[in-house]
Amino acid sequence: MSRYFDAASGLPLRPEARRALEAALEHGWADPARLHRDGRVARQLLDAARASVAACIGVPPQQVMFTSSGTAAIQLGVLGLARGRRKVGAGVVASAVEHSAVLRAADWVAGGGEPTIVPVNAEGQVEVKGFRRAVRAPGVALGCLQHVNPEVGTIQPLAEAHEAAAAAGVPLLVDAAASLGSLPAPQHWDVLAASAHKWGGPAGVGVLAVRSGVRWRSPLPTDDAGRPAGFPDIPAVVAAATALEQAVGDLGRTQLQLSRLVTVLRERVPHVAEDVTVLGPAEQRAPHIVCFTILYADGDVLVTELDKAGFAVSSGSACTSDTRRPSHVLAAMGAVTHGNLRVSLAPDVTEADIGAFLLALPGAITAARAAADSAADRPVP
Amino acid sequence: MVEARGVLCPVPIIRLARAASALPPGSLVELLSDDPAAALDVPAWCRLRGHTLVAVSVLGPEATAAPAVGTPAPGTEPAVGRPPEGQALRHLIRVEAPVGS
Repeated sequence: MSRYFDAASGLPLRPEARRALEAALEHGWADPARLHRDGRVARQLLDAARASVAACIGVPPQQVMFTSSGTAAIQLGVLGLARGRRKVGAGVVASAVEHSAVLRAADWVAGGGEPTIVPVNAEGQVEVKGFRRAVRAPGVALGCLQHVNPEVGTIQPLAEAHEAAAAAGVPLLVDAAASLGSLPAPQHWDVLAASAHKWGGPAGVGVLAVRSGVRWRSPLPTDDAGRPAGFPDIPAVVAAATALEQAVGDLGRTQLQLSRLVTVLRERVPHVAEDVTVLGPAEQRAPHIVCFTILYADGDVLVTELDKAGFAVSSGSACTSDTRRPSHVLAAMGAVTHGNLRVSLAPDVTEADIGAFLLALPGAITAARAAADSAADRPVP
Repeated sequence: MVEARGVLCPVPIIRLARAASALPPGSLVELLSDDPAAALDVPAWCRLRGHTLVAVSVLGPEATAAPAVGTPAPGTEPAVGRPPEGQALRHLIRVEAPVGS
């Protein structure tokens, strides 16, 4: 029984990936640049992993780089496009609901200036007209748009955004961290970033794909092929490739199964207690992510109460965090930021798991609301 | 008036909801809060509950009402900004009839 409902934060290593990791630790330890047998074995493992990931994304292997994390892939992608297009300018266009790694990288590139942030609608979808207008402005080096929003599960209109960027001659970086392995790989991008931890590979492996002809220049010192110099962690990369192959091979089953279970959650969670609503669109959504607003409760307390009941979920609320900064995604959607609950399903979740969750949820909500109620009763300090 | 300075979300919204539920449609509720999340949650809660956010203004450190930062045209929402560090916002909400009644 799986009670891990925080797949969008990271999945445990898939068993096949663990076996591939162990085998690669034994055989793939050598320097892949060496000509001896051990070196050639390591090189073959690396090349095979690259070819496998490239096939899953749908690009030739030479367009795929491995990085030390999903964040590193995003940073290399953004900084590399900015470097390749520095003669054009340092402008960056990004949706308001990008991952903070994208927004921080955009800030970095913009230097003293500010990236152009394109608003989203109440369901978290970027406004295509605004995106089109923003990429047309002079001095824009790159545009950034996620495939799927990791907090709410909204699928972004990549085809339209990519068409708009291409028409303006601006390359589009697509953050596919929340979707690769859960949806067919997106097609409308110039640079793609993803993270192995999200599809059941090991933590510490990111993927950066750059289509040929795109003006991306490594922001770090390079090898002869123009990639950042140095080799990735070959056993980890092999495990990541094995996990992705399996995730993509299972898509036919998982997409349908998870989407059906999310539909059950979307229908039933708003009825387990009063003042509970679903966030995000019913149609253009990832199969495995769903997000709720539970009014008059503290999101962190909900997470703790569900943890006590044995369920791992997450929250975009930040009522008790030190920063006191609520989720920029919820803020951009104009959604209530407190009482936020994200449920993201792992591929092995069953209907029985969902049933158990639906049974545990009312108690957790009651407890979280009681705690918030008594805090509201306390006199003003 | 609902005093919610010095407390964090969701407490300001809970106090606001309690006050609103005790009042007939058309009444005005004033909420004072210095939680940055409340600046986002008050308009979002009003939209969700069908109430009208009439005005938002910044309170000075002495809790005297400062000029409104946004008094909206009919049918629109006032501009909402983050309160400057250490300062509170005053939200003015008109209670509307419950949705669906």
